[in-house]
Amino acid sequence: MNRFGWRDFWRISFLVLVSALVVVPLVATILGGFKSAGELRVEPFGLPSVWRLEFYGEIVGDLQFWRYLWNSLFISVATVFLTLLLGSMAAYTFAQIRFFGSRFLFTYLLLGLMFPFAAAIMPLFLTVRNLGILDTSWGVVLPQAAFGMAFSVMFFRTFFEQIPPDLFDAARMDGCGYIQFYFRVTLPLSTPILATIAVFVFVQSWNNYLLPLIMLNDRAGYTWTLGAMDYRGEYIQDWNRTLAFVTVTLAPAVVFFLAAQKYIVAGLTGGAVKG
Amino acid sequence: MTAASATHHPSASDERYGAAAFRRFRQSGKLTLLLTFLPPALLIFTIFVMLPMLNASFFSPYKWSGYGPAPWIFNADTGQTFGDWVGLRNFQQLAGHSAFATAASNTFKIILVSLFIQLPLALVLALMIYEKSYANTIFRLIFFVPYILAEVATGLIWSFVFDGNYGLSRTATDVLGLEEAFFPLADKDWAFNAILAVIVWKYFGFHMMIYIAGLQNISRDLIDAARIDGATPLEIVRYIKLPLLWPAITISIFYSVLGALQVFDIVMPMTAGGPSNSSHTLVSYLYNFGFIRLRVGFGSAVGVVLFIIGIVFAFTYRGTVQRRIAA
Amino acid sequence: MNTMKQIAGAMMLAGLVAGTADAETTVKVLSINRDSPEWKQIYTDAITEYNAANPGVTVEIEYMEDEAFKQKLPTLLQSDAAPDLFFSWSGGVFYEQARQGFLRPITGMIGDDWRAEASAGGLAALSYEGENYGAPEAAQNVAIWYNKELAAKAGVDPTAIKTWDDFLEQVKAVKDAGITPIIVGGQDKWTLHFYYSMLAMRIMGGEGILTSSLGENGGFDNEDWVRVGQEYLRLIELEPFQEGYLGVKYDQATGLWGDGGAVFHLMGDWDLGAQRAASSSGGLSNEQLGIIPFPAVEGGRGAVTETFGGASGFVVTKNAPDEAVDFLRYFMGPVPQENAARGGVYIPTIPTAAPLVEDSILKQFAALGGKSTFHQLFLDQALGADLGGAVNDVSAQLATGDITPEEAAAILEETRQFQ
Repeated sequence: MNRFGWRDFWRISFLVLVSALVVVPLVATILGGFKSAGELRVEPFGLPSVWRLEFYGEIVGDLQFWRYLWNSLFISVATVFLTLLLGSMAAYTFAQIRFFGSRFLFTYLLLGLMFPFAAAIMPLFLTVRNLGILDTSWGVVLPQAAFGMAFSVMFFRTFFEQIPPDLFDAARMDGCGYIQFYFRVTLPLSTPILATIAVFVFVQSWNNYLLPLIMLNDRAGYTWTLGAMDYRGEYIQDWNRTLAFVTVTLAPAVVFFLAAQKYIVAGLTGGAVKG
Repeated sequence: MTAASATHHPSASDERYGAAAFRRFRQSGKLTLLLTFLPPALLIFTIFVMLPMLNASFFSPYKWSGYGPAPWIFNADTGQTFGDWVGLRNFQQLAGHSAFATAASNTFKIILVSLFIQLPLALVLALMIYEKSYANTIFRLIFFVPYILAEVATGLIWSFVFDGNYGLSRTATDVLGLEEAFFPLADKDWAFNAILAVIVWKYFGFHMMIYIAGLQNISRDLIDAARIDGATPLEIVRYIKLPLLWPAITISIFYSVLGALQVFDIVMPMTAGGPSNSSHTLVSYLYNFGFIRLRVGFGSAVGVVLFIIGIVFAFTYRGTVQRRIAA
Repeated sequence: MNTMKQIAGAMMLAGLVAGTADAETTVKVLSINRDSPEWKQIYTDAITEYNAANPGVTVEIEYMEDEAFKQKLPTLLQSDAAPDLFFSWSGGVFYEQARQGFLRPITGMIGDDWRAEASAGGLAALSYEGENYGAPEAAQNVAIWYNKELAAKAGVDPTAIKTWDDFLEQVKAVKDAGITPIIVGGQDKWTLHFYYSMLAMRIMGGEGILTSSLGENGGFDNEDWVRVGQEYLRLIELEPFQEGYLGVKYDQATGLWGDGGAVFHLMGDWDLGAQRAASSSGGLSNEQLGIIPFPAVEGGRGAVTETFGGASGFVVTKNAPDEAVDFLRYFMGPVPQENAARGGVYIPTIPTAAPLVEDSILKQFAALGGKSTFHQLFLDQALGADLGGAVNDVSAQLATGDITPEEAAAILEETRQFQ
């Protein structure tokens, strides 16, 4: 058997080419933050002649930058918590008991999967305004959790139904009720699916731009995506500053990805098999 | 979608409805469960998803700035309602607005590019690297990185790359020795194509991962057996891998189309819809002409159109293509 | 141990009491980006001085990039995070805000002494239906700037430009000489709308624009507006702008201008400081710059003495405290404006400050304003968010060849009717 034929050559070349398309802009971004504006213009992709730390330093030393990150973190964590808790509670109810209207209510929630959520941003903005939570983190958290509900209920329910019913019957004998069973057995058994959903919800929330854009007006409450656009507007001539800003925000995303990789892949498998 | 058909513990189905059944339902703790565990999710979903969606259709026949609780409510200060009833005029205006036609066709282009360029690319890559090996893992990680990046960050990075005074277009100009610098984002024939390229760049890794997950679920024995029977690698792809991957493909098509309808975050940092409104998507159009001018009725009308497209697609798709797998 | 607790408790109590006794009022101010550092400094100084003189009040200011500011304002005004004072131009956008009740009428709080020191015209610019909502800062005028050295190099004499045809000829000559004729930041469509609007002024006069906006004489769908588009296209067909001008915002464009990127630049007086701040070479000096009024269009009814620009200041939002109004008076008062005049930062509206302008370029702009027979506000502000936005849109769409002059006129009229 020819171990390294033309087929492999083309395959590897193609993979390397695609990788280059992915990596080169990213590397240029990271390096760009170290260059002067003049150098960036002449040599956008090469190594900087002098490694300038001032642009990165300025951003990392700015309290406002950390406030952006903190706001994003708070919003993301709160969204994850709400989505997981409320979604799994609802899914558990659907999985455990049958009641009049259960099928209807489940379908009702699943409708959320089919809505392009941006369609309702104007009324949503008014709802949030009327509730008095405009310019608060909740104005972003609650809609995000609501839009994540369909997705999470569907996944959780599929998972919960795979938990052997014998387990519940046995617990029942020992006098364990539905709610106790949920906290003591279902949730601990569901760590993988909880983690998977958590990762996806977190990434979506962390990267969200449209909702914070319409709900948050006060700079003190800005998420980092709003901050990045703001920064770009402020230093429109200075690509090096913008690139430095983007790089600094890439770091948490990449670290998080590496840490959560396993769950992301698991989520995709789950999605592929169950639908 | 699984219907409420599988029963794995004694349930209401073998009881007759009535007082006795209800008592049992209550005593078993089911009622408590139902009343405590389900309402929060339903409530939040109704307030922040369903009601706004319904309101969009209620608001769409009004001209309204968003001031006051609702367009049809009487404002004692002015002696009129807060909004003006305009019937179908918002929709008529939409239909006659060239920027809306462009936005709709751009959105359609995203769908086409996703389906006919992005997904095949993702599939080819998945077939190349789905097997477990060290090198493949590295490639997989690299290809997945763009998906992890925020759309805003992606847009900023690429607007640098496409900036005729800096980035890639500058380098390309120099290398090719062109007279005129190339500013793709400032050229109305190129701006949206540049955005399309970035969309493929951003999301192909996500779809590739879906396929890889699907491919890894295909039994090794099946493929080995085919190989022993003398099937070529291409035949194996054609007759074994693709059919077995079909569930994964239908899901990735579904995500692609629904995602395509909502593209916004990438457009804003790259072109903000320009030059001269040539690169709007439906959502950036809605934001620009509805939201920031606070024309709630008009924006709602755009939302209604978007909603109809989404729901029609979802139902026909679920009803036809996905039916076999969904059950 | 116990004593420690007591001391700590007493300190906390003292802190609480001190906190409540000295109730701080915060006045939040939102401004558009002040491109020149000198202008920003005037704000900073005014705030520092005011805060020092008024112990109970803390004034805070934030800046936002121009386009972002315009986009954010409508939602911001509906939210609790609305500032107490914000930058505003006069015109339809401001009138809409006043009409919808987002602003606080301050007529009763403007005493005679305040009225005496402020510019009457400026106060009127920031009032709506007899109520004052703010105080004026600067009046802007737009003119054609030219770079003397580059003009000489290209062999043209901009001071000889009297008509639009003269201008087009020089643009062509400059282009033939291998020099970029004009810099424009076309991604911000308002920079293109300057050409379209000023042509409209020269063709139908400020009166004609007013007539159109009232829907008389066919509104915007008449011969005059078609001619505006045609004359505008004559410029566009010369390909007069720098490469990639549609992907560049004003801030970047003016940096290119300051670096000597072109012969002409149609822009307001504020560009004097803005180009210096944005350029990488320190910008153009007064000696290198000249200005001419926008030329006449043959057969047009608008006189060359009609001016185009803005009137701007700060306005008060509906929930703003009285302290905000008090600060407004100081902020837009003689001290900062006289500083601005002396420093050559902008042309102030306060009558006592205006004569103090010594900067040679600003003086020319002031002279333009002084001779003005009609002052037209920026169309994108004057005509309100919808119609004004449509003027910006058609200016860009004509430039990219998407629509014809006839279609542009029809689009404007359709938008007007829908308002």
